[in-house]
Amino acid sequence: MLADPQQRATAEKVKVFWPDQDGKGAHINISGAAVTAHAPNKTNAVRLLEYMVTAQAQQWYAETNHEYPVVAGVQASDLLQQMGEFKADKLNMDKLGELNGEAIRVMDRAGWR
Amino acid sequence: MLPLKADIWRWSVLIPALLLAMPVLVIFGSVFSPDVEVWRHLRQTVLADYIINSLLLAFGTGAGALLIGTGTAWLVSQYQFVGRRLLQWLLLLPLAMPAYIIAYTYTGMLDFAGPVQGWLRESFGWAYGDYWFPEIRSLSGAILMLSLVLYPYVYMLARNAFREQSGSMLEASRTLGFSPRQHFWKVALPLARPALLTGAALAMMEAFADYGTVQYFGIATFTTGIFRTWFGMGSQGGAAQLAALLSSFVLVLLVLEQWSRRKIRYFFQGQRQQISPLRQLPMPRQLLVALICLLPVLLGFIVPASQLASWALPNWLVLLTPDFGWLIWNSFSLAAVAAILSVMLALLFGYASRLRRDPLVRLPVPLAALGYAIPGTVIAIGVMIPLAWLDRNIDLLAEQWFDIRTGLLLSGTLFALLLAYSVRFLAVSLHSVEAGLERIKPSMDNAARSLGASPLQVLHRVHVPLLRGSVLTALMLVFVDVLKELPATLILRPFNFNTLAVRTYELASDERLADAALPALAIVCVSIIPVILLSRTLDASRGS
Repeated sequence: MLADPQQRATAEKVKVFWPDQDGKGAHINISGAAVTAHAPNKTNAVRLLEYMVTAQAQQWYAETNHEYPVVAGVQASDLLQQMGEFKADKLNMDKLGELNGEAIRVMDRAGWR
Repeated sequence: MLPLKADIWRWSVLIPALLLAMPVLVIFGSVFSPDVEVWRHLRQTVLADYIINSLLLAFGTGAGALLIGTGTAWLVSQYQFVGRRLLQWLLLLPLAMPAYIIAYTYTGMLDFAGPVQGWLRESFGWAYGDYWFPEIRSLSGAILMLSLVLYPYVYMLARNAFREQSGSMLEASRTLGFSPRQHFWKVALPLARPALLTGAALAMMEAFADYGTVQYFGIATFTTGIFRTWFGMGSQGGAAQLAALLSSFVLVLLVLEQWSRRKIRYFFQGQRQQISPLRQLPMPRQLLVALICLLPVLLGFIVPASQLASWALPNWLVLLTPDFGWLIWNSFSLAAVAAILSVMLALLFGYASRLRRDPLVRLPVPLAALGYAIPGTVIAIGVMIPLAWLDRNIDLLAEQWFDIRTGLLLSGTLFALLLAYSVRFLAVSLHSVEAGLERIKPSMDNAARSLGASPLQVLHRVHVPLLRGSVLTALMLVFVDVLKELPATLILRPFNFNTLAVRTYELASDERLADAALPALAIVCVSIIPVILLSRTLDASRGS
């Protein structure tokens, strides 16, 4: 949109917004991976996962997919760095699964779809 | 006691028929072991929305389909105008457009950033908030989308019903002083009522079953509620109960439809005389009538298909990746296997019912064929619950006896998907096969038997060659139905197994509408084939 002169003015109005910076912080979602109990190729699966958390793979993943790397010392992509720092929610991801049903009930009661 | 041979036929029908009836029985059985806590929550919060929205959607779609279908059928069957022969079958084309795909397309065209609103802003110098534009992602939008692709059900049946009304009927009403308009409202319409209601009921069943459109438009109906209750709240029992309630709505509709169809015979007794000649119209009115008939074809097929093509064509080389080849292969092979399976079951059931007057053979078949009225979401749950139970027990036994873990042998593989398709589409193949079998005179069976052929040889050497046409039609119809099917595929597909319909849904859910266009276009193109087939059968049946 920035390349299109007609849409440039509109595109420049868009800014990054970090929600809930005075409260718990912005919600974070993760790209996780796991090996199932019945996986036929367990050793190679574990190897792949181990490779994915090396500095080299994390660097590649951060550059290609623009997600925040999980390994300390690896830099986020330039695009993400331009967006600046923000306060992240420290919620344990397991809780998210556990409480999902309850959350939907709260949404139902509040009339949110 | 029947001889052993009779028992073979009996069991070879009874066992698969009960297997196919199982999902529906499981769903209704769930009412007896309710998830009380979840049900109370649903009743206090969203259940009323689900009921009201589903009913509004179904009745709105029924009314819309009746309006478009009856109007066009009347014009095409009574008047001679330019392009009538072409429009007669073009009006069937929207059948090839799955509802969720037309919904994605119109959203892309009509939402804020789309070409229509963009053009309005540009030509009038408006900005956001300066003007009002109807919101396509709404209940009325969904009703419009569904009506545009489902009206052919009414159109097909209404066209035949109007054609079959004899010319003497029109002459009689004209001599009694009715104007053509009065003839339509007081004679033709009431006479065609059973056919119209059947068509509307079919459209309403599809509307009840729709998942793709309402999910995309964010409307809380039964089908989206079932997904939310199962996958969001993790309550299988609650989902099954919602499914049972939805199914009972559909069954009421089915009973009403059967009841209204009961009268067709009475209405047409001895009235199959000459077909009334088409009425000529003056030229300006001919154009007007042609335009009216063209409108649903334009809106229901030509406009969305062109939009899909214009999204897909500029970057089709980019989209045509090896992944897309896999999608095509998965979808086509799955649909082919499901079609063959469904037709084989239909042949077995149809043939056994022909051979044996045993109630244990004849009664379970309609029960198994009930699946066509049951939404795909419901069938998926009805398949998943018993198969998951079986898997757990097989795994447990195998571990105890042989120390092998079998894992998800049935529910995690294509078996579950094929079972669901067989349940959902058996009626489609059975309808074609039975119609074909009815045309083969029993005397032919007798002649073959008296010449020393066994029942299986009669099937192989007499019936199969004679049935080839009906079998091919059945294969084609089921193939396309499976290709288009979304909700059951979405729930039951194995991990890492993707189809054209699911990929279209995923891309559209990510708002990548232009990228969704290629798989969507592939579905639409293949779906045109049975529509052409259908229009030929309709014309042939009228010629005889």
